[in-house]
Order: sequence, then structure tokens, then C-alpha cells
Amino acid sequence: MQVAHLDELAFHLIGRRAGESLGAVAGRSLLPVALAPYRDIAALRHDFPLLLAPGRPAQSLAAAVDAASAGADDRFAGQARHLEKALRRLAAEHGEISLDEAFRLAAAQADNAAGDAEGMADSLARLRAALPASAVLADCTRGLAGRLLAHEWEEARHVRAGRLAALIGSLARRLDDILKADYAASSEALTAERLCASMGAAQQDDFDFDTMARLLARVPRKGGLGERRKQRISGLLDVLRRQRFVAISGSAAEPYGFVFDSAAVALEAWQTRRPEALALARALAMARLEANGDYDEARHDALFAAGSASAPLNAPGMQAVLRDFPDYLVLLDGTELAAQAPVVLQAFGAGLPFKVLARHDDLLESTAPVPTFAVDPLAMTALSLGEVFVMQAGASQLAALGPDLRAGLAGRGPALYTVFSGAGPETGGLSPYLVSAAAVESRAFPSFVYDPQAGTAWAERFRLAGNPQPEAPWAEHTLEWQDAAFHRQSVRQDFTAVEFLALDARMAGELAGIAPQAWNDAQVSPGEMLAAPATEGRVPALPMADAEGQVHRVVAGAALLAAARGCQARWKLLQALGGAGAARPAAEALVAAPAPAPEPEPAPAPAAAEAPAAEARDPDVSWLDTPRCSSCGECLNINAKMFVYDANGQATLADPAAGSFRQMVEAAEGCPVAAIHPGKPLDAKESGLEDLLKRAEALR
Amino acid sequence: MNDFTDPTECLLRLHDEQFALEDYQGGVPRWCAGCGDNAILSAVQRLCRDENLRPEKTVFVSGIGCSSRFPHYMKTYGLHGIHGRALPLAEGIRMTRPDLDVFVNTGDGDCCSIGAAHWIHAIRYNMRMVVMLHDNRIYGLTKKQASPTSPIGLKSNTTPRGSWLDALNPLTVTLGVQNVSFVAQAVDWIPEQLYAILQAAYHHKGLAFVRILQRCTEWLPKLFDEAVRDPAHVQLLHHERGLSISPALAKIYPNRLEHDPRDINRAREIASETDPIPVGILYHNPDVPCYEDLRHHGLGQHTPERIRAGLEAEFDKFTIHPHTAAAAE
Repeated sequence: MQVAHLDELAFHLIGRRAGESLGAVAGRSLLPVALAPYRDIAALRHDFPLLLAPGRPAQSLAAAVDAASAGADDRFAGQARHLEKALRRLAAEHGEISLDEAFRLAAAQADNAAGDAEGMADSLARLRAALPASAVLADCTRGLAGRLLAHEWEEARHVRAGRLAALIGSLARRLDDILKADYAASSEALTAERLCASMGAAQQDDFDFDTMARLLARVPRKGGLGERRKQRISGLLDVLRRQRFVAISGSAAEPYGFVFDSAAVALEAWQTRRPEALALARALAMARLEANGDYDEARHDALFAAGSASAPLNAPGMQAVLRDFPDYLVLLDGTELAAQAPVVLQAFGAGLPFKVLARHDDLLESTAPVPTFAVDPLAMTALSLGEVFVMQAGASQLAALGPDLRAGLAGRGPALYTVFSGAGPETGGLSPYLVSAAAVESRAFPSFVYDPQAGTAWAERFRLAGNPQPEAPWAEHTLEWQDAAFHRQSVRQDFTAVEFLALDARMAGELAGIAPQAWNDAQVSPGEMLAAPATEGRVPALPMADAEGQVHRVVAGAALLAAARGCQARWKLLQALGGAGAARPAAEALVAAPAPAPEPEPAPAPAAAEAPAAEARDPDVSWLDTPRCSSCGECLNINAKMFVYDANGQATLADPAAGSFRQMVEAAEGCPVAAIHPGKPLDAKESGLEDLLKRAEALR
Repeated sequence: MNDFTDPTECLLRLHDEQFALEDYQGGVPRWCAGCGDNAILSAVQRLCRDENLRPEKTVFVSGIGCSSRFPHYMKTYGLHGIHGRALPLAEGIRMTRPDLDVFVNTGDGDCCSIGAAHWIHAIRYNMRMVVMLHDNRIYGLTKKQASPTSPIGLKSNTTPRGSWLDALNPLTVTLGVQNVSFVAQAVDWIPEQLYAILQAAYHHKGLAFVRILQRCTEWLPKLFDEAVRDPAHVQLLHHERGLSISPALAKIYPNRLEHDPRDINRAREIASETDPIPVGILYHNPDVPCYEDLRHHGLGQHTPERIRAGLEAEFDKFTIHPHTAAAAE
């Protein structure tokens, strides 16, 4: 095997940059070749920007345009694509832009581009009409995760708040009606001027209200509310009207905010509001009883006494009401994580309804001597708590993982979203979408979802969702390029953490370009280096493309390889947790491979659906493979008590003891589809048994 | 299959009856012991029950042959027609009584020999009905004569030295006719797939042609033996747009093929295969128009008054009127 040139080897091992063949990479805008075609990502159709419209889940613009042009004529579909591209560019420029504004700018662009403008205005109006009215286009930027999570959180909250508000409103109205009805029958309401006021101005001259008041005063009053109940009801009404957890139209109280950028503040808010929340829950439970007339002072007074605050929470239906109280959304920046982590974990440990976003902009903790990936203080600890929804993903995956994201928000328990935004400080103006996608592809920041609501077993709860090629140690791509002789070449290319790190400008010192005349076979891809047990004499070299699309070969330092090994090890661990990797293909092979052909004996394997323990079937016990029965009725002709038809008109073995073994064997021999298996005789004294057993043996 | 625009129909529907298997069982079948027709009968009765077809709104039409005894064993309306004419009779019923579910039972002789012309045009007309071709590859009722689908070299009473011609393949023929919309193949010894295929055929809007390979235990007892005993000789077709295969069945039949029923070219290739026997939906195109939708049809077209008027007009052509006859003299 060819041995690497000394210059590259020296650079790879000790970082010595000497010799003519090695050049610097800084400032040359090199990208790993796998990413090169996507350099101008805004020109390409992908799942960003997202369309965030109130009242509906986030949707990618491409999907919305597809839905709008489904079934439409070709011209509209073509122009819609054209407009979509313009909108995508605008979103990429602005990061976030309202759809109205984007359409205005796109229309201006379309006007300027004279020529093929026929029908463009019409298409523009049609597309605008097909998309939601007050929507916002959000591209994959630093703030995207927070923006998206806030949007989906608001959608989830809106539904629950609506339910809670409706409940509070209806109970308040009913209590109010009780008080009003009581007042209407009280002596205060029966004075002449009150009666007059209640009747309205039109009839004032027709009645003698004084007489009416006198007459009514003479009627003895029955029942009435009683002072205690009246006070209780007005107390409850007061609590219901002053609550600040949901907005109710016409209510003066300003609702609380539930979005925070600090976990400590959120926790404090939760603690200070807790008594109020409990009082509201208690008031709702009491109001429900009051409104239905079920409140029994002897029983309920003690139950709802101020001291036993938790008791009403066990009242029927109260848990459902409590589930509709708003969740707390905490949006954290990666730099604050270390400080905030203890508070977040405290809230998670207590099972508080906190939905936390931990956004990472930079995955590297340190760059020298070896690049080290930051260890997230939260995700793994939250996983170990067991009942916390955890989702880790690159920002680029968020569009695709929308259903999982919403599942976490829909649950009542705590949830943690760890997201890599891709908007690091040192990525040379590369789109955050590309950087975060690269982090996921290279397993530097693998995505996964842990949903405690999805089941009881770990395997049901944990999924490596959103990772491309989850069985492989890293994603692989096929690359096509043109060599010096203009021939098309194609090569399998691994996308390892070395390729991901090569995006980072801080790693420029660990990379050196190799002059084409010094290229040789000892320069192998980082993936090959990582997979091979022995690597002496070889150096990792990755192909990188410059802005013109020309491919360069770049040697990587040992530090990058070491960092990639760390990623590889952590990914293996995740694969094992998710049942992927070594265990997964074996399991999949079992499912996918055709079942082994039955033995050459005539009787095929019995059906599994009817008899799960088919393999374990005792050959001495007679049985009938009902699903195979073709309903010819021959066995019933022999003995209609032993064999009967089931509801589908297929034969079953009703009672093997209802006839002789001879009948059983004859039926089996006569069965045109060999569905009857005679087993062994029940009666050992039956005549001619020897011959019958021989015949039965032939049927096995 | 029915459209409920008729008020009587709507009223009847208010009585949502549930039927049992017995509600569809007519006379006791007089087929030979172990005959594959039994499996087809059983699957059809199951289908009627599961789809809750009202016996008085269902009609089975047949021609002549063992298979054509089928209507006798169904407690629905039935028409045991004349040889080879099951399809035109069924088309007539479909045209005048679009409220009925129409099933056709025909054999390899009835359909592929004497009725071949009707068969081709029925495919082209694509009127909504389920056509079951009971193909046992022999004339059974008349005691063993070669049929168009008999394998080459088969010794029978009409071909004592073995038949000279290659067997006709009803699947490839059907797939070659214009407007074909549903073609499937079933075998009587896999009842589960037979039922699933008939169910899909019933739900197809158009003519669903199902060839059912069926054992004749009396005259060709060994013909399908190999395929019955060794699952490797059967290939189950499956696709998300076609049938799925239950785990129990998958366990027995290792030979499976994913085939998109929209792909007619691949369907023709598969249809040409004889070993392994393809079982499943070969072709399904729901977008082919039905003849009855293109033409004026339906209830009310044939009231007694109109029939009477039509008959009178015809008779008038041959009536000799005394006065005009006298005047002519």
C-alpha cells in the first residue's frame, strides 16, 4: 500500500505545516463537497421557510404552495413555483417577514421583470388567496426554534384556554343567575320603584306599582337563598371574575403572561400564582356543585375548608379542568444553560408543566488542543427523569418533526426541546439551515424524541426520529463530479463529524489543502479512517469545493479525527438506546426476510393468526386448519358432530371425541386441501388402529 | 353499488337489516365431493353477509356448466341463462335495473369458448358487475372434454391422444381488451385471498373480472396438486393499492411480489406466468367509464305502459285490419 507523503503525515499527526504541497484553507470559502450543491440554499426548494398562521400548525411554504396548486392548471402551478422561489428569497433576506409584505415585494419584483408577466398578477392574487390571511414567513434563523415553539405553544394553549374560559364563563353566568333570581324575589326588588324600573318605560302608566308592591309584600316568601349561601356564591363569583389565568371577554383582569426567558423567573411566577390557581380550582369545583344545586353544607364545608387546599383537586372532573390551565413556556439561550439548568431540573423533577427550549448556537465548548463538543447539561438528565418529554433536533429538522414537537406541547407534563440553531459565530455566513442539517447528518448533534406518553416501554418512548440513515454510523451520500478529462465520476462520500467541523472557521488551523500533484492513495476519507482498525501510514483527506465548484483535497489534523471518534461513540450509545445499530438490522431482517419455506412434507406450516403457538403445536393432538378450509363439506358428510361450520362457512374441529379415529383419518384423507391433522387416537382400544395410525402418519 | 335516489329504496333502507350466512344459502350444492366451487360459494356468501347485501336486491347470472349451477345455491335472485350468454343477460339486467348488485358465474367453456365474443365486448362495455370465471380447465358437466383452457397434451374424451393446442390464457386476453378496468386471479384453495379478491372486485366500479382457478376433483384431480401441496408454486401479489397479506398467510407463502395494480404492462407480464401461479389483483383502474353511465338507463324506462305500447307497435306491423283489407280488394 502506498504510504502518505511525509509532509501530510506530519501535518496530520503534529500539525507541522511544511513543504510546498500544503496550503492554507482559511479565506478560500471551502465547503465539504456534500454541501457544495446547496451553497445557495434559498434557490432550492426545501422545507423552509415556514408559514406561521394563527389557528393552524406551522407548515412549510413548499407544502402550502403544493396544496394551493394541486389540480390547478399548468400555468398557475408553474407561476406559483416561481413566486414561491421569490418568497423564499425574501424570507432568507429578512429572516422573518409577514406574508402580506412578502407578496407586496414579490409583486414589485414581478412587475420589474418585464416580458413573461402575462397572467402573473392573476396567479399572484390566486396564490395569495390560497394562503392564510395573516401569516408570517419564518426562515431557518437563529430565532426560528423559539419562534416556532412559541407559535405551536400558543396554538395548544389557545385550545385549552378556550375550554377553560368557556367553563369559567358558564359557571359564572349560572351563579349570577342564582343570585339574580334570589334578588328578584327579595323585598328590596319588590318596592314600587324597583318594580317600575324592571317593567320598562313603556308600561309605566298602565300599572299602579304601589298597589302591586303592597300586594306582593303580603305574599309570604318561601325559601330564599340564605345568607351563608348568598355570601358563598358571591365569594365564588368574585374568584371566578378576578382570575388571571385565561382571558375572558369583558373581564377587567389582565391575564398573566406565560412566556419567560428565564427559568428562575418562571418558577417564581409559578410559585406566587400557585395559591391563586388552587383557589380558582377550588372555586370551580364548588361553583359546579352550587350551580347544580348539589352543594351540601354538612358534607362540603369541611371538604372545601381553606386548610385542605388539595381536596377539591380530587373531585370528579377536576383533573380535566386542571389540565386546561396554561403551561409555562421558557425560552433559553445556550449561553445561559449552565446557570439555568438546576432550576429547570427542579421544575422538571416536580413535574411542573414547563415547556423549555434550550437553544444552542455553538456546539463547540473548546477548540484547543482538541475540539470538544459541549455537553448539554439538560437533555440527558431530563431523559433520566423518565417522565419528561425530550426532543433533540437541529433547527433544519423542526419542520419535519412538527408532529413530534406538537405531541410534547399537547401533553400536560414537562417538556424539553434541545435545538441546535446552526447560527454559530464562525460558519462564514453559511445558512443556519445547512449548518444544523450538517450537524444532524454527521451525528455531531443527532436528533431524537423521547415521549413518555407513547407507551410504557423504553422502546415505545424513544425514537431516533429525524436522523438520515439511522442504521449507519453517519450519513452517506453519492457524489458526482467531473474530472480533468470531463468524465463523470461518482463516489460514495461519508459525512462524518470531521466534515462538520471543517465548516467551522476556528478549525482552519487543523486543515491544509494538498496540491493536486501530491494526491495519492494513502489519503483516504475520514469515514474510512474512523472505520478502519489500523490507520498507520494513511492520512484523512476530505474533498472540499470552493465557491466556483472546483474540488480540492484537504488533509485534516488528528484533533478533528479524535473529536469525530467521540461523536461516533455517543451516536453508538444512542443507537443502542433507540434499538438501532447492531440490534436493529437483525430485527428488521427477521421482519423483512421471507419466512423459510416449509419442509418438503405436504402439510404446510399452520396459520399463525388463528394459532399464535403454531410451532409449539403438539403433533399428537388432532386439529383443523380452518383458514385453509375450502368449504367442500366432505368432513361434515363423514361426521357432522365432529366437524362443524363456523360463522364463515368454514369447517372447524368441534369435538374430536364425537366420532372414531377412523372417521378422523378418513376425513383427513378426503380433505382436498389437507387441512385436517388427525393426531393420535383418543380411544386406544379402537379396532384396526394399527392400520389407521399408519395412514395418519402418512398425512403428517 | 346501489344509488339511493328512489324513495322506496330510501324507505327500505330505514330498515337496516343484518343478514346471516343462512340468509344467502339456497339448495344444498350438488357439486362433486371436494369440488372447488364450494370454496367460491362459501366466499361469495361471506361477502354478501359482510357487505350486508339484501337478497332481493342481488342477482346471480350464469350460463351453462357445473359453475353455472351457482344461482341455485344462492337464496337471492338468480338467472340460469343459456350457454355462453351469461354476460349479455347480466348487462341487460344492469341496464334496466341499476339498483341491483349483479354477479356473473361462468365457466371456462361458457366464457372462453361459446361465449367468447360476449366476453370481449362485456370487458369493453365495462358495466358494473363482478364476473367470476370458474376455471377448472376441463368440461366437467359433460364428463371430461378439453376446454379452451385445458393444458396442452391433456388426454380427454375429445382429445384421446392429448390436446394439440396451447391453453388460452383468460387473463392476458382480458388485459388486452380496450376499457379493461379490473383483473384479478384467485385460487379456490386459499379461501382468505379468494374472499379478499372478491371483496375488492365487489367494490370496484366497473366490470371486475376474477379468474378463479378451481380444482375438478372428479376429472382432473391431479392438475393443481403441486400448487396445493407446495406453497412455492403460488405467488401472492400485494401492494398498498391492492391487497395486503396477513401475517398468517405470509408465513405459509414465502413467494410474494409487490405489484402496483395501476401498471398494466407489468400486469400483462405477470398474467403470462403460469408457475408460480400469480394470486391477487393484477390490474385495477377505477377511472375507466362505465357504459351505463354513458347511456340513458335506469328505473322507469320500462314501465308496463311503455312495454305494452312497444309491443302493440310491433304487433301492429303484422295485423291485418278487416276494413283496409277489404278496401284493398
